Amino acid sequence: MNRIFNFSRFGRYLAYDLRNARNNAGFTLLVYGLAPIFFFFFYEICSLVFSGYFGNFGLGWRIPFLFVLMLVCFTLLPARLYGRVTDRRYGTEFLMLPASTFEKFLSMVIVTAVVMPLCLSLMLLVSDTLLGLVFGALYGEPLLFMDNAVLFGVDPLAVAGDSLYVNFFASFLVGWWIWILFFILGAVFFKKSKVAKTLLSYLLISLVLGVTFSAILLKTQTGTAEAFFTKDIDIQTAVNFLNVISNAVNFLISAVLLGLIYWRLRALKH
Amino acid sequence: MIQINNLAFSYGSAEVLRNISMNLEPGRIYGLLGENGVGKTTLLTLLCGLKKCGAGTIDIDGRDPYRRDPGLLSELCYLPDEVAPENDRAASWAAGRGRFWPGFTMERFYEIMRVFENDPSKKMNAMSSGQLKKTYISFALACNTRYIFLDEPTNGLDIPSKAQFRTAILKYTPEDSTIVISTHQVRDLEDIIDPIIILDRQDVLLNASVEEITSKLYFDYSSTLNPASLYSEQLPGGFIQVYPNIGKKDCKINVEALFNTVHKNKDLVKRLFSNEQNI
Repeated sequence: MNRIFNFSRFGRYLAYDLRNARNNAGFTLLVYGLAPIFFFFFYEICSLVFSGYFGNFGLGWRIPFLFVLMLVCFTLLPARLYGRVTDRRYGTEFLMLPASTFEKFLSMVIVTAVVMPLCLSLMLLVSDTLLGLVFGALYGEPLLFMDNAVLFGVDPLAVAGDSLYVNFFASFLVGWWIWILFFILGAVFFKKSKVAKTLLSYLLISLVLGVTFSAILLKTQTGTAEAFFTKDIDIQTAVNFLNVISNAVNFLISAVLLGLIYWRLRALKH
Repeated sequence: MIQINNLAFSYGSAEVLRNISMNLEPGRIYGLLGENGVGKTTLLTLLCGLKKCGAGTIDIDGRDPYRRDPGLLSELCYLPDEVAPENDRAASWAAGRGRFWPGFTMERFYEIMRVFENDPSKKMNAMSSGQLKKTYISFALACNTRYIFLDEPTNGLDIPSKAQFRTAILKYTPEDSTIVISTHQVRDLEDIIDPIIILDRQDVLLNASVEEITSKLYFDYSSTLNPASLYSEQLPGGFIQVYPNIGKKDCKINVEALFNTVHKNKDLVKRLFSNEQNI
């Protein structure tokens, strides 16, 4: 067991890895975290120059901007943090460090898929709250203070009375988790043009899987769909069914991606 | 002890090492020599577990290095020919990384950095290639490991640093450590390497101690050519020539001449050192 996992050694490795992450991507992450402030001022200056007055930076700008910012960050940072393991110089250092492959893999996943998104989300919330408190009239209410009826829990869908709720929080969380895992895999798998090749692979795999699953569902679930639409199945049962399927698929994808990342690290040679 | 048995390795269809067998014993500084592309770096990376053997085995105290067992890794230190310019100060980098090697101490790291007149507070990505190499050498020696593999350690070092490197290797490595140094800069290291391993394409041409070499080959600096010489080269004021040491005379090895002798007389030298046939 000591050969595969040791708590003390893992703790040391995680601390070492976090320190490296701070050195290599800390400033970039800070820029991403403060980007809403820069973007808000840029928007207001443009508004003043072109319209002659300060514009209202409403949710219509804020939400897409935050989404794109996170998308860009989660796409680029895995390669920046761990893409260098395929480089002979850094890869040799990585492999020769006395920690097990499992510990290195676990630390990689924790740093990239847990610590980095948490830090970014925290910085974005701080930026958003600061802007909301200082420039409330132009910026609007901080996201943190909004009654946005976010659902918590692990199910993507919920029924309350006659209404169907979509748990955006859980969906985003799972979506980002899988996205980041995919880009970690791309970072440690491809030697060059990591982000471009990973994006291309993601699109291709999504397309193939989407078409395949749609074809299977159309072939096999016609009866169920008919039953659903003819109200043979009540909405709660359908939602429960979709939740189970969705969670199972997400779990399966995560397990496959984690397995592939581990396998790639184990097979890495220099 | 390191035991290499019938080792083979290929890059795709290009065979680099074939049927290599040797034992590397504790307390020795092995000089690994060979022409470009014969597999010196490949052999070192196989010893470290950075690559998987194509055939045969490498056994380091009963363990296979490719398993990358943390216990074995903490007894190994490998210095590649090209090193990474980390975005960190040398001292902080060494302190963070050194915690994984039980024998590592910062005092020793600072001491070796002082020997090299290198500044540990300097950022590694702001260092020259020589300073960076000296930082990595200091770290490798400060790890105090039983197995040290150095690939072209003197490349990029200035003249005083080469002497400092020799001093550091002799002073800061444990008595029982096995050190393997791959190099083309034989003059930089000829006073410290013993035994000498000469690799050829897919073969080991020579694996012998300096004592054994000088008992079988005579390195002669004179102004007249010996007709029995296996290799000779004109120098200012005479020749360096190598011929069989029939009279068992004392001499000082010249590694560059030895290398050229071995390459010019592969079969003869192999027979001479395998004791199959006397000349």
